[in-house]
Amino acid sequence: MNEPMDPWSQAAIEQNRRWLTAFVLSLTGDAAACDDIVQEVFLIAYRKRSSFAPGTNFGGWLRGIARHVVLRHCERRAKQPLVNHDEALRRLEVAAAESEARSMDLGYQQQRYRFMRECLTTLSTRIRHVLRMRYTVGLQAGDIAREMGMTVSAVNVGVFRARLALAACIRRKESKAEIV
Amino acid sequence: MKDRIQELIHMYLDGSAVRAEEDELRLLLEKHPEHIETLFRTSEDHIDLRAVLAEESSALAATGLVSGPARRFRRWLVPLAAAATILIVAGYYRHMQHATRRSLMLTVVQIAGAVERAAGDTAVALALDAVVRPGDLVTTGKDGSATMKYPDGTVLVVGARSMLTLLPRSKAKRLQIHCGTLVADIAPQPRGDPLVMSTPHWDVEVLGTRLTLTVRQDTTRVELSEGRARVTRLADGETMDIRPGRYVLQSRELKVRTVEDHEGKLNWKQYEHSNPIGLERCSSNSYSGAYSLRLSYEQPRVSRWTYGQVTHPFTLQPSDKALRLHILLESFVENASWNIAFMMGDRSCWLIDSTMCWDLAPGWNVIDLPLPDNPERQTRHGGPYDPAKVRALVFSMCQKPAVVLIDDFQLLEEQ
Repeated sequence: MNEPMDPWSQAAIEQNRRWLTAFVLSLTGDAAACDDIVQEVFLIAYRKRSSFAPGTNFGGWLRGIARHVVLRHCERRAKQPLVNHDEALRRLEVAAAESEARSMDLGYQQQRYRFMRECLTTLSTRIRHVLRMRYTVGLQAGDIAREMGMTVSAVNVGVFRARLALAACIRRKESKAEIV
Repeated sequence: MKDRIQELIHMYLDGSAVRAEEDELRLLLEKHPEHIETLFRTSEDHIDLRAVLAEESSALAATGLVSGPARRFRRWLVPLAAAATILIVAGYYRHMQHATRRSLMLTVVQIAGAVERAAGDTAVALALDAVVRPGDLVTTGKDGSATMKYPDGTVLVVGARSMLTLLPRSKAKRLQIHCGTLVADIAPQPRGDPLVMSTPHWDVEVLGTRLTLTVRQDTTRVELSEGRARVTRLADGETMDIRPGRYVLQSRELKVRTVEDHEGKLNWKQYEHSNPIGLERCSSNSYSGAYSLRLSYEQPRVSRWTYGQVTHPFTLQPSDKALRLHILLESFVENASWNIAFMMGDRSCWLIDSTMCWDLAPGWNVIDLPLPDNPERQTRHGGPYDPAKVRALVFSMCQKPAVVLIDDFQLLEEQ
């Protein structure tokens, strides 16, 4: 039988980072602040590790801390978290817990990246370049439009459609992988 | 409906949704919580997309530097390689210059009312998605405001009746705020290259924080929500590091007069026409000295008042410019707030400041409250406001339970 993983090992932290980041991003919509918030959650969790009972729900405990840190982040920015209704919050917890369970499979994250890489190849070079400028360089639609000789709305629509196409492609690949 | 939710989710995760669109999405998700899973899965896609694109970009960069397969040596390859190296270095240098220039440009992401951009002698109305470059001057009218973003995610909101210049010939971000208000949400800046905001009286340097600057004739008001900032007075080079709080920075040095530091006998008293506030001297956490004062408020279930009040004897001198309060929030329930008022000889009260507890940053906050010539709100009726007739300071805790510590309650006066 496999020994349960030490929740404070680097590997375990990395395994939990992705779903926790998605959980925080869903609550804040602030991609720039997400990494810092997740880092703070891990730091708080580590400081309070004596209050965590081994063998209980580690992910649920992390989500509890994350909700608190997100609330403080939102207060500082004078805004509300996107999800603060009881039923909606419960469903978000369920979605995050399911993702956490999938992450326990060590190859899951690599498989997701592989799917994303494969799906990106189905897009045109031009739109991939637009996505790179938007998400890697961090340019705004106006700057991308000028660089690419496009209109701002063409950039926005292009990015939106590309992301829909990527999502559909990944779902197809995921369901195929499940059947196999 | 599903399409609209999907569109709003994408805009929200992309950071391009405005407040109204966020509110619309929040309402739709409350009504249709079954779409929460879409939100979560789209967040996961978003994270993976960023990770894979970043990985691809670094791979592309590496490819540009890695040498190709070994070929048979030819003599003409040496000068060719030298020329290519020069071209690559020059290209890289130009690219870096271009990237630096681009990193110092602002893009307008939201605009309201009249806003102009002036470059040299030409002034044009500022439009959405327009680019503001170093050297440009942005001016807002009485109902104007503009939200602008740097490529690193730093967001600047220029308020009404404001003037701001992006200073040219600088490798780091430098702004001059001539007048008005600027709210800045600053992404972490490279060490050694802080973002510098200059006002006519002070330079404010930050490496990453959220703050609001308001420039008046003789003062620069700084509201620092988190992190630290270094401020330097232009007149005498006086420098200090400030923590979260609200500061009124004068163009010249002011004298600080301590009214109460909680080291001696306590002069605070419960005000009878309000709910009780627990008062105790606290030795475990003070701003300076040995003690601070802990105030605990519980809103009773049944009470004719929604606040508790304590008072302290207090008089003002004509030279007083601001009241400085050091406050630390120990705990609070959402919507708890506190306020400060001046009580006159006839027991009428004038509100000087009101703050929600959630606006306080963790740790000690320093809050400078400029003394108004004519406070706008009277909280207990009586005669007109007259600074010479102020007899007490009233500290109120309102609506919900909260515990705060206060210390070194001071007045800033002109020398």
